[in-house]
Amino acid sequence: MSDGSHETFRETFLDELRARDQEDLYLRLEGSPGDLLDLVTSDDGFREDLSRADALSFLKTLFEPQRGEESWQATAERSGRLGEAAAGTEWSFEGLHVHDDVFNGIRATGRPVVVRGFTIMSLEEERFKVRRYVDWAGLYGQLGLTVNWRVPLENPLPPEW
Amino acid sequence: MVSFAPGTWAARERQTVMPIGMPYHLEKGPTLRILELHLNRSRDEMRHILGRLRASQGASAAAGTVGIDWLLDDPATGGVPSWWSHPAIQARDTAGTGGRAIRDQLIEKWFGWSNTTTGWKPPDPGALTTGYWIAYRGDVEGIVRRALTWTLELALGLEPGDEGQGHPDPWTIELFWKCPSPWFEAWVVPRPSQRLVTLTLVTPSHRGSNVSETPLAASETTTLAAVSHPVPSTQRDYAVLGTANPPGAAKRRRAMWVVTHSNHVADTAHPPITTNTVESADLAEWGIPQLRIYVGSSPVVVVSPSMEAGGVREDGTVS
Repeated sequence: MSDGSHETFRETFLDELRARDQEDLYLRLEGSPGDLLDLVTSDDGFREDLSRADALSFLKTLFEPQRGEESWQATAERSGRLGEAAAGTEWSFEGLHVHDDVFNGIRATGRPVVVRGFTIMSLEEERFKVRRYVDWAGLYGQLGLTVNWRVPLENPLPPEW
Repeated sequence: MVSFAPGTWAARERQTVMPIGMPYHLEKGPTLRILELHLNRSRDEMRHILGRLRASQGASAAAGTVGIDWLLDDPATGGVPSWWSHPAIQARDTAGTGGRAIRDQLIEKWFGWSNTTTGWKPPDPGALTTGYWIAYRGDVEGIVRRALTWTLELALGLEPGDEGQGHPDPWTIELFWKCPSPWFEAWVVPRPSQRLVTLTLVTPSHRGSNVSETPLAASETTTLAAVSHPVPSTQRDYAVLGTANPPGAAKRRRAMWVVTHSNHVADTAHPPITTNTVESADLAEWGIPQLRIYVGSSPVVVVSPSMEAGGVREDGTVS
């Protein structure tokens, strides 16, 4: 997206795939979403590496990994093929919040965090897409963020307004 | 249309006489105004109230004794009428308990104390939260008692615990309530050149404390039949700067002017970081949820809310 609400971290994403010897394979299939999905649904190792690269491409910009290669981990028993044509990966990531400003502008808290998520990969309108169910509320709580709990509600405006 | 089944929490709240929340973020309203009137007395009377605050020990009082005498104010002593005997409280006390029903609500909701068959008990240390505050647990009574004590001491010109002469004429005390904050705290701000002490209670949000997206009032009262939350009202002394009602804003003896956009709306253009954080994305394309993004795009207005909606009347009266 070009509106600033989302960013693409392709360089880091490819770096992560390269580190798992999956970059060439991904680049060969990138233009063939159907073939890419076929591999994701049939090859657990590739699916996991792709989920890992997708998650780390972003999470590493926010947090310093705390356990080296083990910082991001998938849960094999709760991952795999889903439905007719999708695959999912349950994962967690352990990091330290040491980077200023990148997390919606907040200064580094120095707090350890565990980010938990589930990434679904499938085709949507013939494009390879991911849906990430991330425990954002849990992450916000670990960082020390709170919810306002006062809900602004619409009220009638005077006629002149 | 929202309806409230008899016996539900929302239905009970609508029957209460103590304000449970007003539609702005900074408030005074009738309850704090009544407390202002209770505190701003003659020097001797203020010293008596201070003495009662100093003597109360809150939750640290010995077992079997009440630690909130200053708050119960029953019976009134020292010739100072009870805080709860103010005509405005009496008028709101539909139970006819001489204001005790309102007092008890406040003690339970604000401070988390409970009135048992053996007397008032401090909050259960095992409770998840205190009183009606959301996502907060703490010694609210202790904070408010210490804040009021120091406020009175400053107004009287006394060091903590000092029994000396102090000021011959006490300074004025004013009170405000700012909500929300992650935790409960109180700010005591003396201004000697104005002979004024301002106490601002900064609190977490509480049950039922929705706010209005607009500071402007279109309703004659703060309650609407169809909604469960208070709304801005056009009641007495509500004013919008630059409009016809009323002239002479600069000459008002009391007002609380809020300056903000006339309305606020939610940004609906970015669901992936607001309302649908699982919307599909390309690989390596990410955003960080901001929950809700408010947009103040309408004209900026200057508004003094009615007392009933959390403001103050021009003459400071409550009844």
